[in-house]
Amino acid sequence: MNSSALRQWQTHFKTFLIEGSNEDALAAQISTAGMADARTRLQVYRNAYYMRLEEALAYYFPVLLAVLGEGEFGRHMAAYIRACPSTSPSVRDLGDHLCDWLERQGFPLWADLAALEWAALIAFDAADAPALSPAVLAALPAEQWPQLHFRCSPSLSFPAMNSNALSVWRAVRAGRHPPQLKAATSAAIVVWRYRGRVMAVSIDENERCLLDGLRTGESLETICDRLPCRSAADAEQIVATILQRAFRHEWLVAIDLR
Amino acid sequence: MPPSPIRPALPISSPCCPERMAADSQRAASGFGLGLRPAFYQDAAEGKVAVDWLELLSENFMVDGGNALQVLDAVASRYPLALHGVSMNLGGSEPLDTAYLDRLAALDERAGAVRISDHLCWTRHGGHYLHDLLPLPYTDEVVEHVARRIEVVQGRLGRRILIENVSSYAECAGGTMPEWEFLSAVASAANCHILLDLNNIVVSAHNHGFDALQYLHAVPADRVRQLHLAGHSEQGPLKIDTHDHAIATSVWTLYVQALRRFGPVATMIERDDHIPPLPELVQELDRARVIAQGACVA
Repeated sequence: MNSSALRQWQTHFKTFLIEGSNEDALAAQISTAGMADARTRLQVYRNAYYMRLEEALAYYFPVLLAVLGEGEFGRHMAAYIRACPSTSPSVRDLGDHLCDWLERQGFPLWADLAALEWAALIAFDAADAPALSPAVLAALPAEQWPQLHFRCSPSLSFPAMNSNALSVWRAVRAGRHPPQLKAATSAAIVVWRYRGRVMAVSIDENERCLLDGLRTGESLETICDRLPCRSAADAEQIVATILQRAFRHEWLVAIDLR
Repeated sequence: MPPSPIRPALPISSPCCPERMAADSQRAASGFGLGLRPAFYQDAAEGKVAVDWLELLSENFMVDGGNALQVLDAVASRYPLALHGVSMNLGGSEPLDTAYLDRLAALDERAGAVRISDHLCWTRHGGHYLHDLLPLPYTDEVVEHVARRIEVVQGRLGRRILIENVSSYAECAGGTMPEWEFLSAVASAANCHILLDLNNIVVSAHNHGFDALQYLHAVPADRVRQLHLAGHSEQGPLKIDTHDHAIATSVWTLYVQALRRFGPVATMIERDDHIPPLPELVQELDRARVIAQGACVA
């Protein structure tokens, strides 16, 4: 068997695992020695493929599983696994496209939950970075503050929600009966890791605007200019309040003086 | 999400003193270990697991930060570690994943691993990881193909790796040699070591109707550096490598024969489902210690 034949064997096997459409052709290439026929042998691999990956998705998306129930979760995850085969050596990354896929399938509420659980997983394993002490900012002359650029925690993300997914997520994680998942006014949340625990809280439009600006490298002055508020004095007060919260939650890890 | 380079932010464990390294090396070469699983991360991090060494699933620790790397650093300071992967794709027909190898090399550097192993199989095709240990055709051409890929891996990691025999449920009819000849030929051609999984031999022997002892006696003894013990299940006419039961009698019996043939070899238990309380697993490992003492004395 040369390299071309090996590639063909693997193409046939992979097609069988994912699609199951070429069972007869592949079975003809299987040794029939022993106590089971070729189809029985091949089905072990195909069943294991879907079971293993569904179990992985259940492990990484427990809130979605709790909301959908095992039967419905299994059906949709099987379809997802078939549509979006893994491209990462780690099965942890299998759910990378689940939110987008659910959205495309017409399940925006489930997509919200998947986005939240994916953000939580990313936060859980994000790079470590010591939190910025407010003393570092306090030590800088106040006239420099408008030009400061902050760096956010690598674990921080802001999935947009159009549902009450955050309430559902919190209830399931706390072992409480979750409220019914339903559409709600569009709102931002922030997900991050705080001293080893993944946290998520709602943020208002000003907070989202400021954190998003900080994350993309804007100075405080630039961010103040485009905050949705009435006056520069209002903006400064809002920024000060949000920064206090950011320090308290350890959303910031460094100040860049440019 | 494609892997990105590890950016360790926590301090890496302090280098061991030479005496400690020599002692660890001895413990890891012939001692008894367990596969580290999340169920006892905490106990292992606190040094409360009574084993000589631990085996980590490499892919579980290929992350940028957080709890996994804290656990890694803690256990690395207390136990010799072996890295065991499932995604190297040694038998694949497309190029090796160099980003994966880079992450494995970084993990090895951080963990100070005493061994690195993966499976004699293929796991990726057409850019997709299939997260299973899939069977290769046993032919001379495939021996050469896999051996050349192992050489590339060993060059990248700067060390010899161990290749593990997998359980299989189907064999390619185009094969020209039995599995044990294939394993031996690949190890010889690549000049690598062998991680012999005795449960996998028992499972495959049942599924394909060969003699497990014949397999054992055909494996080159000087290349075997580690043994895996595990439990399996039965599904219709086939045995399935589920790692969800205690070690079967047939595997213990083969273990005695393996010790007589290979002498004292690092031995560990893999348990991935229905994981019992840690003391129960350690007790099962103690049974391996007792068997090893008896077999090696005899």
